[in-house]
Amino acid sequence: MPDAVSRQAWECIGKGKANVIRHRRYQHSLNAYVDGELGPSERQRLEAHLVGCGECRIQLERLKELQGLLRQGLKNPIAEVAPVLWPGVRARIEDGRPAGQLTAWIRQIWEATWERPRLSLAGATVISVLLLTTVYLLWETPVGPPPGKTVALKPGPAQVVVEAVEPEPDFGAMVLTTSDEDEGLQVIWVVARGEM
Amino acid sequence: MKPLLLTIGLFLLLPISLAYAQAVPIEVQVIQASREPSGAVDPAIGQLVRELQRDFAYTNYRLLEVHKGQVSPQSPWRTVIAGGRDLSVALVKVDGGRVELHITTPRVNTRVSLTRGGRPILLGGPPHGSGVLIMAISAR
Repeated sequence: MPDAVSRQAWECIGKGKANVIRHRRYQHSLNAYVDGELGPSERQRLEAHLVGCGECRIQLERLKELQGLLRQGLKNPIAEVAPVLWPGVRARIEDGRPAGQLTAWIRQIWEATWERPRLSLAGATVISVLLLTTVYLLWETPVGPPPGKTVALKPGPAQVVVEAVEPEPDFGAMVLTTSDEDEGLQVIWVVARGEM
Repeated sequence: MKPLLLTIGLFLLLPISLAYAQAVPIEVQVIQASREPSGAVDPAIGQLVRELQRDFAYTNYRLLEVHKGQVSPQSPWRTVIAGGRDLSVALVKVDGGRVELHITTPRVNTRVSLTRGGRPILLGGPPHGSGVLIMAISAR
């Protein structure tokens, strides 16, 4: 038995898919019936259905009551009620006003965070690690002078540059620089292997 | 006829004059350094010795020889210094105020770059008499 149709309606309209579809179509026509918008033939068919369908009759009664309330409300101007109700209505409208783009974006993130907490936690962890690494790398550690004596190098090429030294097989050669204040002398000192 | 011969003569002399234009004067001071107690220093090499005395333990510095010559790209310069040692200097390159020399001695071959008219390169170490030889080679 279809869930959408109540037992009472089922008993009224009888078994069969065609009957169910017809019943739903009549239900949808009830508003138009109350408003007097149905054509004569449709109206007659609906009234014939209403004779045998308790659910549709109940729904019709409700629609008529609602229509009566609405007409009564329209007849009594709302001016007397409006001053009391309007501030609350306006506050609700403003609360429901579409938010700005940034606010909407933040709200989306917030909602997504709570929808997938594990993924959000993993993402937050990765971002934190990246941020901490960046801060650590950018942190400027003050570098002190190197230990020992600092020698200021003079600009420009030296007067003497030893480019290559090739001693004979049984000899060794060292390139020494004398500790002169202006520019040390370059000395290529050759000694026999046994004397080194 | 005479102008033609003169022109030919000048044309033949041109490479020679160019070679001379590129020639670099070289000077070699051969010094003997020793630890003899006298402590004598040759006045001709006073400045050089003062610098050497800061770092070397020798007390005596004597200027044995001064050799002068020229090197050009086509012709190296050879000489014989104290103790019959051959010394050869070849010009590798001239670059403005700097020259690049290839120096050959019986113990070592070396390539150095010197400022013309600047400080010498010193080659030392070969034993000679009671001390050692130091060659101060400079380009003019």
